[in-house]
Amino acid sequence: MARRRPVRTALLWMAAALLFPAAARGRAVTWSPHAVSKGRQVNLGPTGARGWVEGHRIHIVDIAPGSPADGVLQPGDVLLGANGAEFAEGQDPRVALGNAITESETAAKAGKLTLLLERDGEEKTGTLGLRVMGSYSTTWPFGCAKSAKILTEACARLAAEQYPDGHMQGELGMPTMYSGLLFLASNDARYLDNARRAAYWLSEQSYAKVGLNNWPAGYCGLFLAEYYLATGDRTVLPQLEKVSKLLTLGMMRCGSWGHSSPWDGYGAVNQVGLTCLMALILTKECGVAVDEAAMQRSVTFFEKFAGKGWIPYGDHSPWRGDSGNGKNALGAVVFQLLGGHPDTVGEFSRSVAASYPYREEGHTGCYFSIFWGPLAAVHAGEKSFRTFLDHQRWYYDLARTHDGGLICQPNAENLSGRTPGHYTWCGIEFTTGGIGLVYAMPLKSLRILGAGSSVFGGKLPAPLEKARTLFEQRKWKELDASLAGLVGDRHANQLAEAAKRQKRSVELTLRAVENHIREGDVYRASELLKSLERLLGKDCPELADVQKLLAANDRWVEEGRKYYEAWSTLRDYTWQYWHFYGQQAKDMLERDGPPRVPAMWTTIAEISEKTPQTWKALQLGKGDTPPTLPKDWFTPGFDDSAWANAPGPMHAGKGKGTEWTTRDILLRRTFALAEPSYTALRLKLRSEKGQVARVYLNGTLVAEAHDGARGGYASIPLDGEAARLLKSGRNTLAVHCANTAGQRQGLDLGMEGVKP
Amino acid sequence: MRVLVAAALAAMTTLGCARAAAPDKSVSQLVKELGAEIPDQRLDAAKALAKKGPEVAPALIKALKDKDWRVRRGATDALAALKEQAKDAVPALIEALKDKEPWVRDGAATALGRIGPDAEPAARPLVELLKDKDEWVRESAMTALPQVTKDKDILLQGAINAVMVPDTGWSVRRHAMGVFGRYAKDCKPAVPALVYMLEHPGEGMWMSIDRVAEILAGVGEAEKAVSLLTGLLKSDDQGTRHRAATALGKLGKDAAAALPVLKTLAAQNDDERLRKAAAAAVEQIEAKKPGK
Repeated sequence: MARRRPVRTALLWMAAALLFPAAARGRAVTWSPHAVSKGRQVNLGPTGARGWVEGHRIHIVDIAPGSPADGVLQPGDVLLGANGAEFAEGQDPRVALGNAITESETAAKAGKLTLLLERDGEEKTGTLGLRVMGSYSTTWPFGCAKSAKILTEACARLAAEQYPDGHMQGELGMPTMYSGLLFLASNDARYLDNARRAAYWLSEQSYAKVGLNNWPAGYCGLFLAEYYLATGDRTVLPQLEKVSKLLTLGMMRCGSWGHSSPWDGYGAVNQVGLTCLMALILTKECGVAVDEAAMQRSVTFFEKFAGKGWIPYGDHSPWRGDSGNGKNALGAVVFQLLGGHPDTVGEFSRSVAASYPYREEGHTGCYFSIFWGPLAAVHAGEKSFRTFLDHQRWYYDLARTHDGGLICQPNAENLSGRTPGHYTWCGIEFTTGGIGLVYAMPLKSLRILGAGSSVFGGKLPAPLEKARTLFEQRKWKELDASLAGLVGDRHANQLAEAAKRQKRSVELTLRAVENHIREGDVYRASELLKSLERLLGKDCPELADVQKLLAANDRWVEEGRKYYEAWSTLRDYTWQYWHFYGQQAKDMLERDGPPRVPAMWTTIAEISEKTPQTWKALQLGKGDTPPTLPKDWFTPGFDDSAWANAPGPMHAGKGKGTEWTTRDILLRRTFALAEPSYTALRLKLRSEKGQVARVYLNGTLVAEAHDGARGGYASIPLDGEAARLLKSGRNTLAVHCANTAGQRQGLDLGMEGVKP
Repeated sequence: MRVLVAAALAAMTTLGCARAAAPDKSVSQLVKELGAEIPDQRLDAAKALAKKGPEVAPALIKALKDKDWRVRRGATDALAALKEQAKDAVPALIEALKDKEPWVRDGAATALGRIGPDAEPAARPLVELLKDKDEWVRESAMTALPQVTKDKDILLQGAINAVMVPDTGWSVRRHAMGVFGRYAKDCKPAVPALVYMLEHPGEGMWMSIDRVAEILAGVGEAEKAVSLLTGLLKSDDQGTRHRAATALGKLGKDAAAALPVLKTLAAQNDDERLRKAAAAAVEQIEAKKPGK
């Protein structure tokens, strides 16, 4: 392991050298001697630390920058106890730490986690400030505010990791599928666009290219079917038709599926097979044709295992005395979806619930068991479910990262070295999506989470049929009218909710497209718009404005794509970005790579945030009375030589910049331009609540801004005509700001433009 | 490092994932638990019973007649765990091979196998059981048969029975192929079964088409093997076509009759994988020495 580190570092730098040839040369590599190679690290919950478990102690090996552990713990520390209790000999310290974190995150403990640790042979205590997440309810994840919060954070985290084209980094598309499921499961209009882009990306994938690959085909079918059943978006149905055919071709005679086609590989792999069957069941619900005989063969094959033991690896007798890697859990969900098999669901789900102490076991148990176990155990009866989940609560809390992600822990097989990095197989997007489903259970938003039959699948009574058509035509008013007569009907409610979410999502996405264009992230905007065009049709009038805006800026699309290409390449070299090498890669990209947002906006007049800019200032006025301003003070020809030299920014009180003590302030500044041709201008303005700022460019009022923007500088796009006010040579920027509220005051101003 | 891994492993297996030790329960209590709803609990009860030693055998023999199939199956599991100590139960287990519940027949076969040579009287009944309609039962019987007898003729007869059940898959055929492979030279009586396998390649055959052909050739049936393999070159299944070509190549000079077809396939463009396999086979067949 020690030998591998420099190799990986070298690889990383080779990658960097290829990507950013000039930048990578001659920079020193800095890295922690404690960083352990991929795998084997136990995530220590939202502390941000990762460690090795040794007996009843935990060795800290890695700390995420900016996390609560950063600055408190150090690699090399040994954790001896938490919240006043030493880890007891003979007990799993993960359980004690998990429980301590649960306790610390309550309002009563205010996020305070006290750790007893050994550093350089001495005992110390360290106190971490965790975010207050509240308490778990006794019925968690049901009726539980903390669980809901974890779900929201997981979605936000995934949204931040999603590539603009909708995919997530990682093997076989699995992270995209699991993340997509979670976006959808959240029932949150804010993440519907993320689910949509994931669905659209997946519906363009061809699984024939890599032979018949049943993993991605099965999961693709599962996610796209759930997506259609939740949203009624028919544009994914052609891909579901393909998936249905592929899965029938890919099925083995026994009724299960292997990794790939029946003539490749080594036979059935039921972990894949169960998802493929699940995909077929849901695809059929979407109204897409499936091979009924093939599906029935598979149902018969899997049902036979119920009550006999664990669904085994492949085409053979049940496994016994094992935990089955989550396959019985998948079995319970499959037969629950099918309906009409209560005994089978009972047998499978009760076997899962009874296996609560062994959920980590197995080759893939560390993720599939963890993802699917609760989704199955919930069918085993309330008491069994509680025992099952409460016993593992520590695991789920330790699985959380400080920034909202959810990650699996290494299990005995990983630790033994047989499959050392296996638990991180597909990265944190995969596990955040998968584990996140547990917290989404109360919403019953997906079929796999217990949603009833969908309004978008199958035949409906005539009035609902009509309403569904109106939904598809996006005739919202007529839809509302037709639903008014169907109050209380479950399907009618689903249709109304789906319409509401779609409208809200389109609105939010349109706003996001516009913002991204204005901020220069035109590539992201173009991908978002592409997904809207697919949903609504290219000619949809709602899109006309942003289409025009994008067309005017489309040369930045390719520029923006470069960042994501570089990031994707670097991530291929770095395994996991939350891991040490990933952090290094991320830093490298930020420093030397293409900018995340291309330099669409170039500075014309800089703000004073980094370097103080010199203005000419006149302070005047006291109290409520507006002062009389000098005549023509804002014109280029005005003589401001008597005004004070004032470095920016202006603010009340002492400090960097200029103290502003009066009610009003007048500022003037000139800048030289050799080439005054800009297609657009925007102001960067820092102002405060209760202030009014009037900005003049070369003697013409171009903006009147009320109040300030939260968190610093506001970007204020100027009218298209404003750019024509610029001239070659000397230009004058003038601003009059009045603080009418008399509270805190401050002012800074800059200007940026887009070159043709 | 190694120490750290071992220690961590110990922590996780003995603490986090430890199964509860079976409490000291009475035989009658444990027999009752053989009928528990959760399969693993039944297995735990069976193991706990076996721990008590051969004196539990009479109770288990009685349990083989219980009205609950779970208890009957649990009794076979406990007897299997007793291994050769359960030899007194052989007649009762032979009777259980006719249980109406397949999962009990399966367990009885497994238990007889674990008892080993002392269960030799079960050999003939197991050969009959290899015609059972349940695939798991045939799989267990095929596994048990070589454990209870070394009689070549009985073993071959069992394997013949097993592979000739329609729609048999990999789980049974892989064990049967073990027997055919071990007694390849004595497979003359198995010719109809081997022919049946090539006529019904199914997916239980995805690794053994070439081996079946070789065994057939070894007992003087090369011509038959070549004609069947030539037929398989036209299979709907891509893998079967490809494997048939490979198998013909392995037969070497014996497969000369297939050369014209193989040469045509080596020149076609519809199926690249088949083209390559056919070309390689032509080379092997035309080689001076038979290729392996």
